[in-house]
Amino acid sequence: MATTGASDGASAAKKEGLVTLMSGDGEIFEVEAAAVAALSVTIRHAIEEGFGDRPIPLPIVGARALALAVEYCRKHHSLGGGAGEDSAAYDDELRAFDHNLAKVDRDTLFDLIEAANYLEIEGLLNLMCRTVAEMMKGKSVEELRRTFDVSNDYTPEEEEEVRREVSWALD
Amino acid sequence: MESVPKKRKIEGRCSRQPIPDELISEVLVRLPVKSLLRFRCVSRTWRSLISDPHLIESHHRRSQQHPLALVREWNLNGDNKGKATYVPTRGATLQRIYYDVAGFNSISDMAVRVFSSSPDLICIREDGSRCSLLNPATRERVTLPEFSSGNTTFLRYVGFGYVPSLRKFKVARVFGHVDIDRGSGRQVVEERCAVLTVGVDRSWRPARGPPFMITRDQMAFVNGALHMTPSTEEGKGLAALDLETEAWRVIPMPRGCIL
Repeated sequence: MATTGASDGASAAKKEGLVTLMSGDGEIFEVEAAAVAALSVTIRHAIEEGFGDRPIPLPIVGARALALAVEYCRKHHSLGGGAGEDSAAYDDELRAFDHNLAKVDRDTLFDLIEAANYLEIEGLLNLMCRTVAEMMKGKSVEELRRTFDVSNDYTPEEEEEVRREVSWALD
Repeated sequence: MESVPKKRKIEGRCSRQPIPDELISEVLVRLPVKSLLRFRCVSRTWRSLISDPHLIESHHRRSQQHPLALVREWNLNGDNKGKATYVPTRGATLQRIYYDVAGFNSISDMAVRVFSSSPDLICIREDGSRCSLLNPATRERVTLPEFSSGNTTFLRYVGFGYVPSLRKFKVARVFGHVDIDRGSGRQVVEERCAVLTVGVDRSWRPARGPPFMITRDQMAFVNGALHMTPSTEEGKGLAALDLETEAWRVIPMPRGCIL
């Protein structure tokens, strides 16, 4: 199996093409280096810098988000859709997979956005941001504050003025 | 035992670290304009995220992948409201917007699509001495200073375009200046030009007039210049006003070409 240009390719080969990832909460994942390196720029760089034989620390990525991100990488790598939905290989199977992956609760969506951003997995970041945008799109101001825990720091006067400016967009 | 603080548990619900602003922007950039404007009301932070020039530019770049066509409709209801319809180039529903402009029916207006990293605007002429720039996506409108230099002038043609070096829009008007010829006592009309840099000038600046009389109420903004056709068919070519230098040049037309 080809390992991605690792300087110490010998030790990576010992693990039969596996790389070890450590989530922010200390969980260890042994995953196929080729699949994650193909999709995640961050992990590709880490392997190139010689992290192939020791765990790659991913401080801000939680275990659950990391597991989902790895699942995304595996699936997309195996079906050749690495570049996300703009690539020619993005077919019905990948579309269905993405659709199911995005069926998670709000907190997990945000965790996945942060994970995809940190790991630099462009397709996953786009998928999750688009999912959240779809959830937000039709919401009223109050619904949005409630659903996404945003606190309102306007004074009543300020809020009234902003509302007046955009009155046509409020309904 | 009773002293175990219960408050802790309630706060536990919010244990998730707040998502960084840059990642909220990643989501916002994927929302339609109408939702973005509505979400300005959510909080101060959201308002400043949504007003950020980088976000606006990036949103504009994305939306150019699905451009909209703007169609003007004549208003037959007599309520003095100009009407326009946005026609998406694929899917989605039609959006109809209204220009609340008195006298919109009787005057000509025009739309210019701006090919630059700035929002697309429309220039509407409201009456003989006034026009405004409208952003159909946000419905923001800037009414330009009235054109007043005595009763010898009248409004004729208005055009505008984006000047990247200034990061500003400039609006140009070509108008007739009427004089009485002292010898013959006849009226003489001379075409003049005035320019306004939007957001800078508080009144119209006189500029060099066109090289010959121009005609038609359309000006085409191409390659940084407003292009106009001559009023007579003498084959003089196109008159082009460069909006950056405010200088005119004549683009000759091929022989036999009728403008």
